[in-house]
Amino acid sequence: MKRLGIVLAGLLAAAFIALFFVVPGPMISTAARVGQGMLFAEIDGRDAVIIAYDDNGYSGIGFFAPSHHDGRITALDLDTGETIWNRALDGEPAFLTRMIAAGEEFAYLETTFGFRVIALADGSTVASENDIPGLRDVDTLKTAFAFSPSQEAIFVNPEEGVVRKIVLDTLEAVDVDSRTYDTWSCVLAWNGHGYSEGDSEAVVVGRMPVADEVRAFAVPSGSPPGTPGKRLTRLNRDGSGVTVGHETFVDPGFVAQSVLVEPIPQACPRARWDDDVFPDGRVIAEPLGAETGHAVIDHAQSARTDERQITVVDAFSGEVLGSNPAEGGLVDAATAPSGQGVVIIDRFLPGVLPNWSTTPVTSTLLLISTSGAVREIVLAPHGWLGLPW
Amino acid sequence: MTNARVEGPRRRGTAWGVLIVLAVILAMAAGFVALVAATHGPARSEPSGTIAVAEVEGRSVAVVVYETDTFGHLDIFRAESMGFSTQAEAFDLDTGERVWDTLLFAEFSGTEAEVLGMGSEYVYIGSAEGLLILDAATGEIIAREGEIDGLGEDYIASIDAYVWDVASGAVVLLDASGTVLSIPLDGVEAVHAPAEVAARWVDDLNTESDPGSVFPPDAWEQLDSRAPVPGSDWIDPTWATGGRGTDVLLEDGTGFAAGWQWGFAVTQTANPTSSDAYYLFQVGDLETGRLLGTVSGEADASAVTVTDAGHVVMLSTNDTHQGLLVVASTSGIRSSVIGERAFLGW
Repeated sequence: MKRLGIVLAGLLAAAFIALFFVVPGPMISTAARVGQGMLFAEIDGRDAVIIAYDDNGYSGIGFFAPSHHDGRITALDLDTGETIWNRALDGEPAFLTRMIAAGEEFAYLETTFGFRVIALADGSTVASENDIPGLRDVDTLKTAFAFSPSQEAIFVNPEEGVVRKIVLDTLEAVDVDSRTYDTWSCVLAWNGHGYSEGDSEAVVVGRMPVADEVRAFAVPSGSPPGTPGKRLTRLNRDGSGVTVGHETFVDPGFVAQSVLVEPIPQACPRARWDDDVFPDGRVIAEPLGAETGHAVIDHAQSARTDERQITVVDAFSGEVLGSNPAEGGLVDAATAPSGQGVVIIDRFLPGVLPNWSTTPVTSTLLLISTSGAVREIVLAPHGWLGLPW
Repeated sequence: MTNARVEGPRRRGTAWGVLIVLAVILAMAAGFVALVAATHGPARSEPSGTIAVAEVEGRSVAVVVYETDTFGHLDIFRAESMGFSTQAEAFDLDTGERVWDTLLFAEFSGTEAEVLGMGSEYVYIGSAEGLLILDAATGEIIAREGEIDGLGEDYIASIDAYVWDVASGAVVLLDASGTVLSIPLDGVEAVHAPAEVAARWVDDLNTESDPGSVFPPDAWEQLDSRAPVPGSDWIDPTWATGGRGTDVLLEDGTGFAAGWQWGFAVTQTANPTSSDAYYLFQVGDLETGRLLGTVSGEADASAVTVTDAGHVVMLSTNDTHQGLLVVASTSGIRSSVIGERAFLGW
């Protein structure tokens, strides 16, 4: 009888463990969601991208790896894709974390819990708002942080009617002169009120300037306007086009990064509308790859599906240099100072077995080298036991 | 003796055990039935804006495509899609009975689809996933998306890549390589479209970057308070009750009162007994002005379609958010609920 009990208990335990292998998808798939924006920096001589992400993946038999289920921040080598460091965000949700700016020593973030400064060397937290003179006791839910590349400083309004700046790689917020105040006071929204802060996410555009030319997409000559497959085309000044290469792309567009525009100096005192401060809009779309002669194309995998694909082609010959599925579409994109492109996409990675109940969406990074090669970095992959792969 | 004394209590114990198990099973079954009864009710349904009509095996049949959301109800057929599905349903126009109801797509939030046309053998449905061909008598899916002869994997997953060409009575479609194809009425194979047919559609197929939703249908815009019929500029719908905004439904193409060929017309009147948008659809005899029948609906009439057998068919909704197929004829007017679900979502 005792032996029978042991056998039954063993079978029960085996069935329980087997469930994690037999029940598909959720137990063994990855599910990462990236935060807002990305930063570029040089870490130990390596060009790196820094992003925050939430690891929402199912952790298999969770007690093996519970600590990996959280918001994290990581630095990745842009040339090799290797992880330079990867740290927990101390319980803060990463998808609401906004990457503001990075210098040579520090990176600055805005999280739901407040303002954070991290060390670029290892990702450790160096300071929060209460450690920064000029920001102590600030209610970060009411304030706004805006980066000015031209001044290499972050502007902040710690209280209504006050503007201070944090110069990159420093840990203090100092008062600004009246000229700077008149430039930034109306741009920094107080308590949710003020000018729109713009959207820094990636967009897809229909035209791309490259060198002194313009690229667009057009149906092959003589085909109906609804023909799904379109070709990369060089637009001539007279409006005619010349096909570049022989590849066709369904529902194509050029991946572009949205770049925040700096305000007109000292426009605030007379400004009544957004246009008075940002006459050409708060953001401009800059297609990726123009500097290196590449077109980064977001397109459907075929006419039979709306699942997407990212393909990099030579903008002058049309040669395909790299391609990667992006079933769930584009999330974010940016160009590093060193010329590499980073495109964040949503993938469907269902794990080993198919999943009938949900679509296992997870964000991954595509690193596009200056030669156009594409390397995919999967965030937060988990094995069957929940341990990182 | 010893054995008999021992087995007596064992048998009684076994009998009690069986009784307890049965009682538990019965209690669970009763709970399940109670759950079904508590959640069983009208599931929402919303038709797309087209109706196809034909004679099928001696019956006048209309086919509509609708999306349904049974969430909140016990529905074992749509568990995977949280109660959503897109279906095609056929009705007998003379009896109002459902002929068949076929599940086309079971995706969360539904899939855009509409019936393009039908013959006596096949029904053609265009969708955001491609084309489907159904058996007109049974509703069985004969071929879908990549299974269409002459098209195969060259299909386009966009609802505006498929249209019905009234003049030739054929499905017209664009394939992935940009060729205009057609499937003649009651055919199942896509072939190169005749030049004049291709020319009619070549600039319109698959040109919408966002075709928009076909659910719910747009209100019928061809109506007038006094409608023309051949030989007479106007008819006066004296049979219409109420009086707040009575309109006669007009036939597509001719602009005459729908049903004039058979001596009747259909009116849509805002119901004066209700403060919200609530309509009366009424049939009147054109010669005598006599009222032949009345049904009510919550939404304006849409997709007004005239059959060769003497029916005027249209869509509306009832007060429980279900689509209605309204059929008017010389024998009166009747409405059938679209997407009525039975036990467990059947």
